[in-house]
Amino acid sequence: MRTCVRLRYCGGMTVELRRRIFRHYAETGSPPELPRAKLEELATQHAVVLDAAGHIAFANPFATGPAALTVTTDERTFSAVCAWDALGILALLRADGSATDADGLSLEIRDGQLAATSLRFHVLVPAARWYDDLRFT
Amino acid sequence: MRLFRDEEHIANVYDKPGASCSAAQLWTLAQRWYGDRLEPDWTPHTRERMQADLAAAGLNGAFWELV
Repeated sequence: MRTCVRLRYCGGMTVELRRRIFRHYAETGSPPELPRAKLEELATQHAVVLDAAGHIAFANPFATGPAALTVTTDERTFSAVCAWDALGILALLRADGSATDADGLSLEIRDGQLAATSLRFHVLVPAARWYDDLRFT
Repeated sequence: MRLFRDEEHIANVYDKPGASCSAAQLWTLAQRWYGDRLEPDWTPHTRERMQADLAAAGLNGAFWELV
């Protein structure tokens, strides 16, 4: 019941903080500065993943760059930890753009549609275990 | 969670099965899962909503079952 517990603990303050984080990433490509106690609380709830220095490494779908994928729109560049998140950034921005990984494999959204591609998206960890270790997942 | 050129590419990298989907399925999922996160009244999706998002992208079965 991990997912249910995780969601139950996302109270009003946490949700507003998460909205603020998403807005900041969307507007700047980077996370906001937040008090360490707040960040640790969000991390406990799996709302963010922190790096070794205690800063936000990622708050899905956004990541603090550099990360596995680069998302490019007409206005800005973003980072994402996986292709699902990379397309998620373009979806929430309602923006056309591309998502490219370190091997140069790229997905493109044009006029709100996915450009034809034969690329496949592979998931190693079953959904039931996604939240056991978000960084590995 | 990685992109691959095709199923052969996946098989060359992983000996564990995992699961894969097309980029079109992934785009459907990404829009449903993340598309509302900048809306002022966004709240986290319920488990039922997330499972429905996976199903809407054609991702069904035990591998895609959230707990």
